[in-house]
Amino acid sequence: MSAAIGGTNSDKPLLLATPPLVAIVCLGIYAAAHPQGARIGAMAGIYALLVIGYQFVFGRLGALSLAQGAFFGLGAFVSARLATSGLPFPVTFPLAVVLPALVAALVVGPVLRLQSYYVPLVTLGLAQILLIAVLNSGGIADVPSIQFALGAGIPRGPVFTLFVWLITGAGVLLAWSLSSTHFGRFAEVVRDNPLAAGAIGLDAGRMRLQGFVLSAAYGGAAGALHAHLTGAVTAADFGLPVMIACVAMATLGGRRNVGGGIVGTVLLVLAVDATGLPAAHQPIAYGLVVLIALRWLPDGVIGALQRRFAPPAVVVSPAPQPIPPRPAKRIAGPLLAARGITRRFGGLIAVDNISLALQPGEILGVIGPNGSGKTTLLNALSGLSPAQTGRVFLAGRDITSLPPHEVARAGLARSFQLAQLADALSTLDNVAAARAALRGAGFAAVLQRAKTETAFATARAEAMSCLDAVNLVASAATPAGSLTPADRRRLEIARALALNPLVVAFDEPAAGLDADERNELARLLKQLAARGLGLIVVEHEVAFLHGIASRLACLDAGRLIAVGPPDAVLNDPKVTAAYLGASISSGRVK
Amino acid sequence: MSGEAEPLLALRDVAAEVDGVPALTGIELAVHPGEIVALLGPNNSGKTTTLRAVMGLVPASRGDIEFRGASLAGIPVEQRARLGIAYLPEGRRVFPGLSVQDNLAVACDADPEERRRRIGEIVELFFPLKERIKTPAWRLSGGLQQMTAIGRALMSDPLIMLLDEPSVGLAPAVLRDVLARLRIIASRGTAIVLAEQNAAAALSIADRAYVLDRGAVIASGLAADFLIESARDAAGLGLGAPLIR
Amino acid sequence: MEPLQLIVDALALGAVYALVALGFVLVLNGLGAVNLAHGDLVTFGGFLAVAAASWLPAWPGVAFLPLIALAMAVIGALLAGLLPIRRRGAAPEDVSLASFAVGAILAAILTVNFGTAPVAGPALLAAGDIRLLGTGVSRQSLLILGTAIVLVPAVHLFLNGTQFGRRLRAAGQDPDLAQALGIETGRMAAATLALGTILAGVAGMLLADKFTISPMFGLDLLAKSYIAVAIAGWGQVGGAATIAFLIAPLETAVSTVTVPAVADGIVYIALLMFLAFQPQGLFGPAAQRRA
Repeated sequence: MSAAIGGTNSDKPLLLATPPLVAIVCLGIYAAAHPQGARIGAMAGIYALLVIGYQFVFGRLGALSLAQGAFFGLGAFVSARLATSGLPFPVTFPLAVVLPALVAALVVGPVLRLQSYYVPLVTLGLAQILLIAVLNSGGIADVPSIQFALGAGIPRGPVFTLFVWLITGAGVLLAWSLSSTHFGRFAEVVRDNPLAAGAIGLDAGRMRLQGFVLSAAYGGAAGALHAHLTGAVTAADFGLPVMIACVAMATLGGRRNVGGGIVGTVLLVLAVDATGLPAAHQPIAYGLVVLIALRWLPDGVIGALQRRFAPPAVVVSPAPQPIPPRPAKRIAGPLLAARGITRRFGGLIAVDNISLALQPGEILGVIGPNGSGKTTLLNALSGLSPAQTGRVFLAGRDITSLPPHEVARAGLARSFQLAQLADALSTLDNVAAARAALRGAGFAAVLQRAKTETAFATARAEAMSCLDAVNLVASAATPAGSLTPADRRRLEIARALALNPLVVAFDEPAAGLDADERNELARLLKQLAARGLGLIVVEHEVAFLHGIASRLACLDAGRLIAVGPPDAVLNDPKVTAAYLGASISSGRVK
Repeated sequence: MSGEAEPLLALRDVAAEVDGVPALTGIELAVHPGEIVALLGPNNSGKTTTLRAVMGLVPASRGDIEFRGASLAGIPVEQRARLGIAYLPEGRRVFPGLSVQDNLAVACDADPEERRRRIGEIVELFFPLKERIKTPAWRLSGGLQQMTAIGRALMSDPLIMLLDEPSVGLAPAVLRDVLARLRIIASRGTAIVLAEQNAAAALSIADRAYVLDRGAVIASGLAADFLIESARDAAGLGLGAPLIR
Repeated sequence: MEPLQLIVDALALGAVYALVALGFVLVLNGLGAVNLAHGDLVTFGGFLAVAAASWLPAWPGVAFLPLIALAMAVIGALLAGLLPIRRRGAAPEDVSLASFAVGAILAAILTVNFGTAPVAGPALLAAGDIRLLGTGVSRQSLLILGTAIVLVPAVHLFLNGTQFGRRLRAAGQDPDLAQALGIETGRMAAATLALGTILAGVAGMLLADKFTISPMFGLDLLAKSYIAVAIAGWGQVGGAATIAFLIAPLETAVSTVTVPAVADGIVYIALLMFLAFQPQGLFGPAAQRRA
């Protein structure tokens, strides 16, 4: 299943819009025939809004947030409290939207660096805290319906229902237009492989924050409307019942697709009403729906329909377009300089006072026994495990404490021993993401949709030229997860090239390549150096390095024990003892 | 040594698909007890798929895989390991949260005394692991993880070992010792199949070799013959520069 | 109440929390996923004891232990079939998602049958005190403490010192690799859930015995185990049990100054702050996942 970047866009937007439209029409028919129809219709709209908001974190980021019910309840609480004090809707509603968003930012923000398995915990804790706070204050009753200023308002009834759906519609539009922002396009990369996101230049932490803030805002909006509809706020609005309903609707409809959110919501709201299920039993039904959907509808109803009626169209690969070179800057001094960098892990000193300099056009090979700190050195340079003492300068700029995505954008790209790619994205999109990420696209991009669309098309064309350079054009549409290990490594190199780097650091790029591929790689690396890039190549294939490197550096136990021209280093007795185990002067070089 | 004796492992006209693409198009090979067989060939020639097919991780769409004279068809993956086939997948896979010691012990069926003894031997062979025996594997560098993975395969004292690219990520000194150890193990009766990019390393200890290309065997014979040929025409077979003497 | 009695009772609550966390962290190690139903499994076990007591009033409480352990083991094995463990095309968060659904189902079933008010369970031992150091100490409390003192090291030893435990952890960390090495991952998953659920049931029985249970406690117990695991370091068995144990006196101390509910809130807030500064936990993770 090759997925293009972006969750709500598709090649066939009309076809995708049909199921939710059908659902809404069914809802309308049901509501018209039902004495309580207006209320049911409004409830469906409210939950649809909640679920669409939830999809940002649950579907796109793959985070099992348990706080959506709490944001809902918070929005309801704020709305109700302020409305019973006489404030009009235009004041209470924005507050009900903003306050949960603020809470999300404050609570979730600091813990975003955490592993993804903490998300349920942190959000559960938040939900419990809010629930306790509400239980303490008692519920709120006698909440009026929506009141605008000057006495005009919307009574509960069909008009209210339409108003709710108006707001939900706005929510849908917003979600759709977000698809042109970084978050909209690349949330899946953060979900699939945060290391890859960093290597591309994406700020995973910020994107997670954006997702949570959005989900909280939508949740608060839904809660506010709910309070006006039902006229009360109780503990049940904060807890498990809302959460399990939300999860069930999202899972049933389709996690990543706004249309799916609507379909799932309408299906379950109608089912629960038609069967007359008492409130206490509803969580059982919702739980069963989740289990059944996970078993038989892993992509939800929408996913099943899509597979049947709208299989993903063959993505046409654009014609390659060369990447505009970096503006030439005269740099005094080395391209990359590390001065006395040290990195410890607990009691172990992994990198011990290493100093290196890399000139433009130079290829520096790094060798050393296993465990000598070669990868840690690269991690220190690229920001994954920043140096604790010492400095790292890239073209004169101090990059020592920059996070990995900033280092990538500054011009230092790297590859990993085990290629870190976004497996669900196509080969082309893995590289296009790197091009597009360089052009910042925050939420302001929503307003410049046409411009960002063109920019993205350009990014894909430029990405094609990177694939061309590594001979992967034939696999442009293949999902990265299906590539062979050797091709995955080439894709990583293409991605590194897409960043238009000044320096590229390679971690064992020749491992697993056969002789032909190794020769190609050597040629490619020499080409890059000829263009003025500086390359650092960590390798065990000594013959390979000998053919391309102008200097070699040898590490042992975190220290630099030899640096200089390859022949000198390879015949250095310290190097022989630590690393080679025998003289290799007899080895023939290709 | 090879010859008239019954093969321990035999593949007859084995074909297999991976993701709908034919990966093996009729593999014929045989391995005898105590023999070291090298599987060579460029990338995507089917070396990894052959090993995975023997383990049952890839279903064979045609042909027969026989182990000790009996067909392996229908036997699930976990059981094949228990029949005496040790498998080292490519990519240095270890259990990240288990210590080196636990990684070595986990797949070994011997009793605790014997297990401890074998762990001791492995740690002597892979000397950098000695001081890190209690370290959780995720904290090890890639090369040390590879050593742990190879050590794990050596622990089970199997009838046959299937090693997929064991040389990747190993410093030359360590690689020499590993190859020497493999030779000793083979001399005790274990058969070894080495799928290797580093043809020179593999040929330096192998008795026989098969060269694969596009899913089929295009050449086979004594390792010594391949070594002589490689000095003249390495490019055609994708053999690397000699590193081991 | 005598100070010794008070202390022992507070320790007993801590011991219950430790036992709850024990089952939780066992499943975490064996499945590589968070079982969000764990708290509800605890309350389910407690209510099973309550139900058993009402069906078989003549039986002594202790006799229920093996029956409930058996019932929980069966439930655990069933769970292994329900959860999408190693299902093709399942997302990594799906197991936790499914467990959340199971927990919601269990909590709702209990609420429908028993209501939300806290209920006391059957006494497992003869009620009353044992004379210790000149004062009376509740037998129930001593039973709970004894159980925790035995089970926590036992589980730790099991997971870290036995071949089966090693294989359980391996199957949780990389099921594909484990399978290729001959480990029966399906059986390991079922064993993990059976053991974890038995532990949940035992904790639930003891909780009902000495204190009270309600379907509403499920999420709260889950949160505390989860907190303990996070603070101790992901996957550490002894650490998680210890931290969970310490949550009880912390709660008790804070609730002498404020409402008990607020004490909970304070514990949660303290955790969030701790995680922000020390994401590795106190003892470091027992397994690393990608950031």
